[in-house]
Amino acid sequence: MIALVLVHAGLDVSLDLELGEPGPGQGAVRHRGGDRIVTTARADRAALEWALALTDRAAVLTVGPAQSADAMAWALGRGATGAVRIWGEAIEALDLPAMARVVAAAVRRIAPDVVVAGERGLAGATGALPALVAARLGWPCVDGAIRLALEEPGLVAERRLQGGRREELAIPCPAVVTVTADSVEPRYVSVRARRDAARRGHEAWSLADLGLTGEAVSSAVKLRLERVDWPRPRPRRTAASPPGPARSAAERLRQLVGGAAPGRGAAPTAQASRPVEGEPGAIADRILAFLEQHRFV
Amino acid sequence: MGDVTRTVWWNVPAWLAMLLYVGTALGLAISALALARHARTILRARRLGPGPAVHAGPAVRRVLTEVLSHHRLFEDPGAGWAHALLFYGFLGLFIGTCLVFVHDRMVPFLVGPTYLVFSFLLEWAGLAFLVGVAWMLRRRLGPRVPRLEPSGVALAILGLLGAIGVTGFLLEAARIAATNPPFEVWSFVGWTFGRALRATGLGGPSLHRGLWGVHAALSWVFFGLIGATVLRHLVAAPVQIALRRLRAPGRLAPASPDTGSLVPARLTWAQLLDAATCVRCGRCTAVCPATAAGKPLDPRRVVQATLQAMREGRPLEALVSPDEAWSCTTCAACVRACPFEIEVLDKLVDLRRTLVETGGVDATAARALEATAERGNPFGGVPADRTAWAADLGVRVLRPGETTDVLYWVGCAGAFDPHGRRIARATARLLQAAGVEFAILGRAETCTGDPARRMGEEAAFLEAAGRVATTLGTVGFRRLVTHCAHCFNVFRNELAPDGGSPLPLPAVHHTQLLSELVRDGRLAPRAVSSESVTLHDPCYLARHNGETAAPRVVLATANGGPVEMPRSGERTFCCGAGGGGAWVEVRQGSRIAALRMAEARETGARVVATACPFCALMLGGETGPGDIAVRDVAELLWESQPAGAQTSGAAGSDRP
Repeated sequence: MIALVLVHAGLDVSLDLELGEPGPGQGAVRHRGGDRIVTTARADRAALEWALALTDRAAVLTVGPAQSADAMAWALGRGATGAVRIWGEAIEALDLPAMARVVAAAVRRIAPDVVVAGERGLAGATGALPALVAARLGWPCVDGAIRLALEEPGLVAERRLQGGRREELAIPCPAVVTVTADSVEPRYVSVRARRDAARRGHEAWSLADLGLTGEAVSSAVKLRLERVDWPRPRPRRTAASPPGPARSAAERLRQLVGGAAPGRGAAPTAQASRPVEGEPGAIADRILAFLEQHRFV
Repeated sequence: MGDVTRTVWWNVPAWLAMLLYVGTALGLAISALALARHARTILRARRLGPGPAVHAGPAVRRVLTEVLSHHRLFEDPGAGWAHALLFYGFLGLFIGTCLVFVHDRMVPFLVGPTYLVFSFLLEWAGLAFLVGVAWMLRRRLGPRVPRLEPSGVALAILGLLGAIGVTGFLLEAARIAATNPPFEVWSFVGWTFGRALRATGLGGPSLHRGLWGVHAALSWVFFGLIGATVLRHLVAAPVQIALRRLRAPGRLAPASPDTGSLVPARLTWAQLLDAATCVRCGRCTAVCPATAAGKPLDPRRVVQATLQAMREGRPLEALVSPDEAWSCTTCAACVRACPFEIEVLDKLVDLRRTLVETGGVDATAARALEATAERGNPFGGVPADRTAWAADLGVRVLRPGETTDVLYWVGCAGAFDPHGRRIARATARLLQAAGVEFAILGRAETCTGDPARRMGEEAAFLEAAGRVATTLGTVGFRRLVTHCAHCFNVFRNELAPDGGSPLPLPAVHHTQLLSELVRDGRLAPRAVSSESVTLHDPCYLARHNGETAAPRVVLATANGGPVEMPRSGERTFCCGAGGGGAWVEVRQGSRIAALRMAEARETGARVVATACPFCALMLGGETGPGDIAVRDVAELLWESQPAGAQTSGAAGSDRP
């Protein structure tokens, strides 16, 4: 069995980012200060783990500029038997259907039995790409598997459904499957393994290698990037300090549920959350009265 | 007194004398074979790892001092005395036997008064030997010393030694009883027993001959056991002491360039030699924090497993589990406690190096390693946040090409950990108050690679260290100060971008700089706080780098000096953070930091002072409301500063 894993090397978005003009080889978003830290989504790593669990012939495919070499080295270091990177100038501006066309062409050329991708792991994190690729190929597609296993003549995949239910799907190959990020703990790939893999290198394909031209794929794109905006700054939340033990239980309770807690819209009024003080018996009566008043009992 | 001597082969027929030589030769040959097998394995590995200490003069001096002084053994006085008695008794008897040989075959000089003095001294040697043996037996059988295993082999060997000593005295007694020369009163033990034998009428020549035979046979067994049992240390220990790697304790042995399983062919000569020296005394296990916390690690077992791997040709990872390897905090208490300085932690780190290449890395450890490679810090913090702690302090950030007097290396814990940030604030404010010209590197700072290296990720360490060396090369500074004991250790011992000898960095620990400022009167303490403080020495400051005075000088200023815990100074007990322990948690057993905090509470102190942000992190995690507090010495010193200094630093919160 041959598995092909779709991976994507993206910017580490939790870092300090800045917006700039989109240019060749880079998007509008880049790291402030110049350092460019490329990382691989956990879901993508999980996809490679599952592919390697299914077969010892698992290759990876990415669409990305030269910086994606890090992701290729990581995949090869982890045990992928081959790595292909597709890039061309026209790819920068592709929308999802156009991208799916490129990826599908590459999948056809490699001819795997199964394409495994990380759920919402690839390019743009919309999660639509694997499905679009499957649609183009006319292959079945299973999204968000938490377990994959070989079962003649194809695969079985387990999916988590609402309410804790699970479903098990028999998948005839060839097929496209995505796996969730938490479905498996990706194995650590050492610096040495990554470096050795980087030395071995990966295959770089152009659109021409896939029998496509830049014009052919980009002419279908009707979208244009207008603007990228920063998220609105979120107000800094201050942690409510726990009330000191010196106060009475009722005072502490008032402090916790009362106006001391900041944010979250309008604070509940003191009336609505007034602690009740008194003898245990009296309090029990008040509680009962409250429950009856609100028809709980 | 012409015949005041003894006939050496008295009552020993020629065949029995011949048998003595044959048996001894046989015993020695058996041991030589076993030792040669070890030697061959060790010699095959002679090119693996750093070479031995080759200067003959110092090596001989070291062997003589260590062997003759027994100073490591006397750290446990019972063990020291027992072994010294046995050793010096044995040495006396051995020299005596050699002298008898000289007397018999070359120059007959043991005559007259010389013979009497000789006999008298040998009696004492024999007694010392027997007392030593008895003491050791008692330590294993009587009220037990917990670290000693009452193993069959150990007891059998001690029994054998005892039997050799006792039969030696008895055969002397039988000889004296049979010949009864009055001058033999100098051989007071033999004389006393001899008289007893005469009184019972047992002391005939046949008894003597029988005892002589038993004594000889026991000695053959002894000679035959040297190569295959813990007695091997008679030969191996001097070699180990002579050749062992002489290096800063905080300097880990580099990884070998090839990867793969730790088959005996990949263990270095040093690892094989020191394993062959092990006498299973258990000092390592007795001081190991992981063992104390019930983690699945027993340093003695690891050394014995190395020996087993060597003997059976099996890979070490087949004998030592990943959990054992990950339990080590690289605190080096075991190395410090071992009479031969057997490198247990090097073996465990080597195992981790194998595990790292085969994916045997815990998820949290993997994340720390990935963050170190991607973001330059194991906390996964954003580089731009590295100066967040100093936002309101007006600390100068050094740019490439600029110079400063003191470069303050904040470290990742100082930059990202909440308590680490408070320590950094306190340190910066103290430097400001003392008028020190200092600067930080800000976001240009990256991890020194200590966690990566000790988690076995050598390539990541080399990458990290190379980055740091490059960064440091772009700025000018007279001194490099850090409050992190782990960064400090890397700067002092390990920052070698080319993998060779470390850069000569003018690195000081913040406690060293602060103690200097206090001594020079540049930091005048206000009223000394009345709160009693105990000091937790960080392993990487105290044990790996021998600095125990500086934090105490600072504390003496801030709080009138610490109330010491039982395990302090170079014998400090780990907090559990070292060796990647801050990220890797082997869940079995309890937490090492909890044990240390219990020890701290027992001193009655209200505050545990630390001198490393990782100790602060680990110990701080064990405190509850109203509990003993964990503070860095810098925080305590800052709080003791005059109010003027406190406000002159910068506007902002009154607490550092």
